Amino acid sequence: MKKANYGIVLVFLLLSAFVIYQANTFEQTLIQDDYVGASFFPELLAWMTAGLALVLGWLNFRGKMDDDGRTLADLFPRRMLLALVGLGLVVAYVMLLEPLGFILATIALNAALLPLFGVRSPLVLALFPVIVSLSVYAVFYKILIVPLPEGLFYF
Amino acid sequence: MVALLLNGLHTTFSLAIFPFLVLGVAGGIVIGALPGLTATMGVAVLLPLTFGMESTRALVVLAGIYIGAIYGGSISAILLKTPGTPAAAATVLDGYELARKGEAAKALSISAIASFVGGIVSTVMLITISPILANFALRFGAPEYFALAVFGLSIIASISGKSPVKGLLAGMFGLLISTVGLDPVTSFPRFTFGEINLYNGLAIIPVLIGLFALAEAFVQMEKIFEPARTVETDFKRGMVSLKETISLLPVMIKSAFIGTFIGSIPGAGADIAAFVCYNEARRTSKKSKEFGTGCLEGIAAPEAGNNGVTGGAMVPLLTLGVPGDAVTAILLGALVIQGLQPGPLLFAKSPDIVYGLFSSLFVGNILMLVFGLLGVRLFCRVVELPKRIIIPVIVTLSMVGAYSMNNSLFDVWVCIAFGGIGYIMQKVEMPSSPIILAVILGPMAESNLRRAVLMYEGGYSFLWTRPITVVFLALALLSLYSSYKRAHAA
Repeated sequence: MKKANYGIVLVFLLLSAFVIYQANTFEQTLIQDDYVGASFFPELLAWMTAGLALVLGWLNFRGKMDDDGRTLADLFPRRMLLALVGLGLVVAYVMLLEPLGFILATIALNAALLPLFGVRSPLVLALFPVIVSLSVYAVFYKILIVPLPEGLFYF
Repeated sequence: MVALLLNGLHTTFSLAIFPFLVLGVAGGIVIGALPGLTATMGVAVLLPLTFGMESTRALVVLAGIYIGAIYGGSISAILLKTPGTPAAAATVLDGYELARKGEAAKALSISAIASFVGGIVSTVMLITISPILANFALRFGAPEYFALAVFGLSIIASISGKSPVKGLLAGMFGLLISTVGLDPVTSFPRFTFGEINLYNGLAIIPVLIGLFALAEAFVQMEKIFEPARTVETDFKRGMVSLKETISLLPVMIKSAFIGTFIGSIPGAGADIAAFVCYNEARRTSKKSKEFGTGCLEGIAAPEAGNNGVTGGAMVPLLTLGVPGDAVTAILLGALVIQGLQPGPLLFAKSPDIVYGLFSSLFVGNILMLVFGLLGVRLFCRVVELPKRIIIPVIVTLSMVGAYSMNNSLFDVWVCIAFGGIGYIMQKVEMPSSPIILAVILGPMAESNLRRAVLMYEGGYSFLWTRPITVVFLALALLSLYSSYKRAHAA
């Protein structure tokens, strides 16, 4: 966890630097900018973020942060691949939403996730994705009148 | 007043009104429980259906949806770690932890009871002291709103678990996110990188769903082949006991009062009230160390607080014609559509409609309690489903929830991005709730701070010269100090 904490410090310091750099490019637009312009609040936050990140780094260095002894390998184990594959499937799903439409894309997503999670029953694999997709479609699109992506086939 | 109330009750229980109230409350619970569909959205979507209705019936349906949706958000928050509405984000902290311990029935039942208490107390206050509250809320200017936002943000330290520093960093991240989009004062595009979808900033719903629901789905995917946890199915034992309920009454009533007060301030909604009540309950509790681990008070306080807002938000609406939150803004539209002019004259000209609404709020809260308690058994079936079945459903609902707010695929990408961020944050033990709180309060803090500075021509004396501002800032300092003491003691 100690290394992970240093990672957090680094990420937030970089974020602060980025925000300060960007905020400095904001143009003055009105006379009231003399007091507090568009960059005022983000810059203030960025400096506070950098300060807090340094405090975290200092506490970590002094051993004042809770350290459960977990290494980076413990925090990011090999089984994390399952979550990454899941994330990949979700990304592919969103890319397919517009061309395929909600119903077909959702069937495809669920049909891909179930085998990943160890579901082997052909009945479940065949029925579950269809039921989930049509149920969500019915509730959101038909009952609550929320428009969903229609795709090439208009559903 | 009593005669008018009795007359209102008579109207509420009439065949022309009561079935619509039942439908409104039940529909509101379903809408609230569905991720992405907020109370505001539910009322907005169903508003056109009331155009042809008689005034009282239309208002009763909309009020029923409002009450039901604010409670409904807690169901998915407790069972799926997916707050159905932003108002239920604080309920996740202890509700989901209690459900994980196998006590989902207890969490759901106390949520229903606390929501009921919050709703009833706020309705009583709406009827009795609404003019006083409305006048007080009208004294809020930019400095007071800024101080209220700072007080709200001070809660971050207390919802940050073991590490307040990491929580504060997460809060800062949330505040930085809230600056994305057009500058509220000068309209200068900030951090938009030419992307037009970012001009309005990042919508809260996709961020919330990503951080809570999608991130949790990814965490559960990792553990998909681990043995399943056992779930409490003995409902007689699982429900909250009468003794526990009585012991929680003080915290529920106090939170209901706070929620009503916050609701009566225009612009401060149920989401802010829930976090404030959670923090206040934790600050004053003898079991403060148990907060975040599945503590009943941690569910009762935010739920009583967010439902307390329902009555409070109607105070300025009915007495001054100023909506207290987004839902009451839509209700204001509904009143106008019905040919009514909200304000002091409404009580004089249309007492039957006003007291019909008051009575329906009472009855609506009772219906919400009944549906909530009867539905516990049904809702709990959700956690009994195997993970490999429930995760695809959560992922699907998350995607639809993120999309449905603005019908935008961009929001879905935002949801996925925050799902990834939330997942990494869970890995490195950074709390994600502060981000939500900061995204909610960030715009309020920034725009009012800048307005206040402009009002004082570049000076900051408003921080110590305006009494309400001073009180809120003092409360914020007190909140930070008590969080520091607690962390130090731990």
